[in-house]
Amino acid sequence: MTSKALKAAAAGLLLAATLSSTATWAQAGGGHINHATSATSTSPAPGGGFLAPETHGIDAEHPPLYFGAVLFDQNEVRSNGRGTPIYAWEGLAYYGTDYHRLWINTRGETNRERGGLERAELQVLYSRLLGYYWDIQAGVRHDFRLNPSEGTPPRTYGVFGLQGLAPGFFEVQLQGFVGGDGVFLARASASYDLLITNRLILQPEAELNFSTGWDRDALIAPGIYRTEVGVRLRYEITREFAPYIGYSHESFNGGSAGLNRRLGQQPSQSTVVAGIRLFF
Amino acid sequence: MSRVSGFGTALRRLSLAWAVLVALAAPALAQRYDLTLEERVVNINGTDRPAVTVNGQFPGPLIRLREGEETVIRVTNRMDRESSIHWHGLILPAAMDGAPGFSPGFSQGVGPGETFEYRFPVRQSGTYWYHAHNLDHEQRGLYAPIVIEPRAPEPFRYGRDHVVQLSEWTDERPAQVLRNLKRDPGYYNWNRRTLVDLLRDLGQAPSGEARRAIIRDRLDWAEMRMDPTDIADITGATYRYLVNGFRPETPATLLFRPGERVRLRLINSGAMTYFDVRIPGLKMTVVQADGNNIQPVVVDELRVAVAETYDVIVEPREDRQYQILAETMDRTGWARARLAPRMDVPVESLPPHRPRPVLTMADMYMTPGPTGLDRGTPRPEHDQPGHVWPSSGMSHGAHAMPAGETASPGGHAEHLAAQSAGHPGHRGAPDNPHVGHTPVPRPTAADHAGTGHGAADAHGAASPAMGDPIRHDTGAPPGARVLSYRDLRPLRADPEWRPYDRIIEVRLTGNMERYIWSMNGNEFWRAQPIVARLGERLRIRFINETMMNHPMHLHGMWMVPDLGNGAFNPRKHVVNIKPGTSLDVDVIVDAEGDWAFHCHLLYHMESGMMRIFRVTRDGAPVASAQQPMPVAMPAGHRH
Repeated sequence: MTSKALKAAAAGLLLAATLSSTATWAQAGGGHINHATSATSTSPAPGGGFLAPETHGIDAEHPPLYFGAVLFDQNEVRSNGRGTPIYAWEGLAYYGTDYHRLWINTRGETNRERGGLERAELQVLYSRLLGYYWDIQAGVRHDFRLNPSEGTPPRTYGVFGLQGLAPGFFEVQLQGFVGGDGVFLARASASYDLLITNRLILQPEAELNFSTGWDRDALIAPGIYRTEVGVRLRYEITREFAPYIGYSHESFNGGSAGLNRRLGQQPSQSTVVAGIRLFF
Repeated sequence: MSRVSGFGTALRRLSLAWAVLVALAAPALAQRYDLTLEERVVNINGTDRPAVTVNGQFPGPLIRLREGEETVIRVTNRMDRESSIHWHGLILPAAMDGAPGFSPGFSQGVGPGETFEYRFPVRQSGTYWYHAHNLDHEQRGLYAPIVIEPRAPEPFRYGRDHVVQLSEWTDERPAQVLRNLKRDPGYYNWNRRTLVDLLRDLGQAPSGEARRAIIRDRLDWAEMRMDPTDIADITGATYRYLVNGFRPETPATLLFRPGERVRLRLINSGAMTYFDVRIPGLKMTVVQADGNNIQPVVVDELRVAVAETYDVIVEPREDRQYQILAETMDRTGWARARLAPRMDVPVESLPPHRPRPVLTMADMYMTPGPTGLDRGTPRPEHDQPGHVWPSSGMSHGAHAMPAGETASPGGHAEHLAAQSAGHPGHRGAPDNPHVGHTPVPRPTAADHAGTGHGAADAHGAASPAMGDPIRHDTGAPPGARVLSYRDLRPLRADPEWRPYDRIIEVRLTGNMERYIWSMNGNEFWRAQPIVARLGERLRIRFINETMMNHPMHLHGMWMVPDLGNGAFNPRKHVVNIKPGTSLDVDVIVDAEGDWAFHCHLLYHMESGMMRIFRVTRDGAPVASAQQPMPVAMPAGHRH
């Protein structure tokens, strides 16, 4: 188990390292035929310019801007009308430049019966700008087991993914996971911001989870084993602070529906949600 | 009301009587000035905020100089970090230019506690301004006018003159504003198109065809992943717009006697804001642009791009107040002053805003990627990923770009390679420069006329079709005349005019979604200098691949936009390049050294839209020597 986790983590980190080290990988190919290669006449810097003509690296006087952001897109209470409402979150954070970022995704929810954490997932990724609208990402995902006697077991995966804006203004995330219990997992999610007014925004979203094999402890079965769709209506009081209400439907499909039933859990449930979207 | 604590009402009174201040300052200080830079608290919006002041003033004090004399200005920095003063538009030695990192001996600017002595001969006259050459200090108030009296008599008469310095203020720290834009480029845009707008538009549409066009337009913008309402990065959501430091609610009062000719020196010292200026009830006679005399032209309105200056003469005849209205291009705010016969006239109300402009598909057509022209750099350079909009994602084939304007210059970049050869959506590589092609921009930005672009643009000045986009651009009423660059004709033929020696391309690039800004696909911190040879006349072909206007500014030398008027093209220090357009601008390369060359939108400059413009004695690199013609017209180009 531990060695598997290590392997998965190592795979993810290796991928991230590969991404970050390929310096010229996204350069435009050929076609710059007009640039004569004989640019040998180096121009002196009269009066001492601080940037040598051949400088192509980072200039100490004007380094690229480092900045970060934190977005809790879902930060909400969910209720299906029975029992205690649960708390759930889904968020991201990043820090870095336009090109290179340390990127964190996290999500999780509390348990309906006991109130403790049911699941919690953390991804630590290296994110690299791929093109105008896309980032390519690689790193490690860990699913925590907070109560040793209950819930799904801990898993560690290597992650690679693509994140960005698809035509039509859809926020899209595609991720693949290797490791875990030897299965390959994939996740695709998309969301859209429909501006009813400039502050009242309807956000439908959908997520599909896919697996190549069984991981019974983690309630994973081959095929599309879990889907989630939701719609949230938020009011942006500021960009940072936007309360919302909404509806969410989560379902385990195929083999994993059976795994859930065996544990005495509903394989699908609809919930009404209310929360506050945070962006800072 | 702006208030500098410690100066309080005294300053307020001084600023209110701007003319009096000017009159007092000019004779006393002559060609020698001492300026002290200090942080002081101002209160613009009801909260005390730290501003950067010059001699305790916000904005700084006017400097009056005389042409032909030496000037000495000592600048003392009493702040805790380096600062600088750049003399915007002044022709002076590189070491006195005041751009940290560019000017020799000025790599750190003026350090804390230090005094720097600027000493330079004044070789020009007109209206200019000075400002800090860094985002933080300039946005927080370190800007002020410069007025240079000419040696020869002015070619126009006026009874008195007033400075009208337009600017903006935010209670947020500029660094925070930049971070906000980086994490969400639409952070300050609360005017995006909504579902409610769509339903309203559909309801008002006269026919099924019009409704289909509305839907198609929405789908096209969504497909492009672009926002047509992105007119200004920073809006009235955080900015308060000022004239001479005064909010529109408590406007500066500029005195006149009825019947007098009043010269207004309009200076746009805003960091990010384009202003549309008009004075209801008065015609404005534009006599100077960027400090240079032009043949007088009478207009009703003019748009002042960031960092430009225009001098206009007005003749208010009635014994009443006239409002000088400066509406921001994105219609989210006003700057205003007033001409009044007395100080105590009541403040009039502001008119309603004009409809907000939106971009059209035409503003997005100029995204050719590298055209193959030389970039003037010592070594070839390539676009960084993410700087060039992936035009292949578009599906607006149905939109009426004239067939045959297509060009996808032979396979130089991935994003273009993906573009189908017959894709009609892109106005192509600029034409052969030797057949007198002068791509003239539509005269003002944010065009929302929506039709007739493309072919009309390419033929520039002569085209009668150019008139209408001018009127539509500022939303001026029919019949009103709006100034355009084509109206700027110098009084006398430029004695230095000659055909250009060499041409380079400067593509204005960036990423609207991530707030990346660059020239030729490289931000300042990773870019090579653009190298020019002393004595040459260098043509810069600007190609704006973004959806924003960019006021391009070159330190130390004049830029001459080619408006098809030969020796009667104007000399400017800032040339605005409209979205989706191309404009040829000649540089008279007559000043040795390293100069800053950048977009004067400060947040664009800070994000990387800047280059070193290096002028050397012993020549430009070999790579630049050849003519661009064969490459600018790639094999695949069809006409």
